[in-house]
Amino acid sequence: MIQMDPGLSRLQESVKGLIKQGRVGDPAVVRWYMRTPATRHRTPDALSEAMTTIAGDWMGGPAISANVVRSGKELVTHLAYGSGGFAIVTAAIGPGEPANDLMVFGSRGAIYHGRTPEGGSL
Amino acid sequence: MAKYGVLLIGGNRTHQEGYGRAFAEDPRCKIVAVADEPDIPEYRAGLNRLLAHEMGVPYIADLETALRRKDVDVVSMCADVERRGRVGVQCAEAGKHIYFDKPLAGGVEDARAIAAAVQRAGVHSQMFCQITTPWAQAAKKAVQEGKVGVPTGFHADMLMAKGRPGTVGARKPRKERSRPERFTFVEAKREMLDMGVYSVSMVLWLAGKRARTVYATTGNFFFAEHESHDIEDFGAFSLTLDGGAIATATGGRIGWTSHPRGGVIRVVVTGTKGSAIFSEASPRIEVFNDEPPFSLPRTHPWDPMAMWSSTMRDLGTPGKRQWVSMSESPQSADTSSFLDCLDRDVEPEMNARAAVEHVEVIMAGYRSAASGKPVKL
Repeated sequence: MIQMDPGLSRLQESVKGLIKQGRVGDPAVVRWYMRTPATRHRTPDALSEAMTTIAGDWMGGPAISANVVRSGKELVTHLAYGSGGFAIVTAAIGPGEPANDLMVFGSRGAIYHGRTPEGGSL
Repeated sequence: MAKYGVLLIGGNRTHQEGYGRAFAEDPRCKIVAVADEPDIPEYRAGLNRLLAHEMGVPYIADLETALRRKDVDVVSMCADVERRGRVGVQCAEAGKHIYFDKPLAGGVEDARAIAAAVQRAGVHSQMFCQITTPWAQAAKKAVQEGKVGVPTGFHADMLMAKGRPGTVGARKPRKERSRPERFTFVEAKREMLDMGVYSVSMVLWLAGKRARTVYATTGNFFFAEHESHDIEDFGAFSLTLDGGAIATATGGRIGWTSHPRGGVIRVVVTGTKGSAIFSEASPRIEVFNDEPPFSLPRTHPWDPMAMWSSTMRDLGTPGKRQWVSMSESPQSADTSSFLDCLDRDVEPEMNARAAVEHVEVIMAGYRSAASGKPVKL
């Protein structure tokens, strides 16, 4: 398990607070992409584990099944929860601008957070 | 004088409402008629006649007769998903170029039959999707120019922010069917097919690779309408692709108030050098003023998911006005691109042959969602 980034902890608690307040109804789907620079201790698996733990916290418990696909230093964990909800968590380690793009869809609303470099439009 | 005579199959409360008008607005086209099969339900025939009336063209209730007309060069095809295999083959065999509504068909056999008929007839075909939009073209250019290095992942979303959310009953895990046979209902559609085809087509087109394995999950999270027909309102795929990259794709409907504009329509491309997001909502202008904020509109009894512009027009549904797009409508961009291909006699990128794979992936997705296991293609 990687050392939890303070920013990540704040995000976990902030989103959890919104869910607890019922702002978006029952959490149904987490769609989360995160990319961080390589460090000696950070691997895609460790980052994914941290994200998966947080997603489980928002979804009310750990997943009951998971399917993992990977390409190089990018790993997608597709999780299913006992409630019927699911999460698609993408963890990538690599150069370039860091990215953290989170969407949580609830039965009555959605939470958006993050920053991913904009590719623009033609 | 218009270069192409266009026959519209399907009418109001189909996407022909948009495609038909996009063709009509193009000076290269003249709408010849609206037509459909003779034995369709009366409500469908009535809605077809309504579009014909609105567009000032005749309605031909016998498709075979309409396809025999020499002044028809192009067919814009919006038959119900369940009838698309039969109707698509009939249009190709009549020697007409075909603009297909998405998805190409509701089953792999039908999709393959259409692609084979199109190839035999030597006509051009294109299925509506998002690849001709400026943001998708920017994503393709970034991939081709190596802006993110060697691509490792493609992550697309098509989540429509319409419908009254929070009406579904008690949450429970969805039990999916491995081979869905009906996709179209008055109140709702199977969203992993209907919306998922946009994101699946996007990731496969950007990657330029075939899918190797498909894992998918479906759920009923938001709408009583979907639950009442036992169809999903949200689906998600994880794919492995030939060549080693991976992809994820979501397709669903998340409710009117879950997004400041039409919904989450975007793709994130990742690679060995970085990542970038390309979105329908970017670039945009944001307006903050003293106008009343958007609130849940009235629900149309025949279109509670707000799928059609005609029902929204009838209800006077106000649009969301805070995020303002800087691009033309995706339908105009796409029909124009199809006509450009006809002008140059070149095959469109998103032709029937390419669209078969989307159906293969999505149907594998239903099998995966039913079994809980990845499916090899």
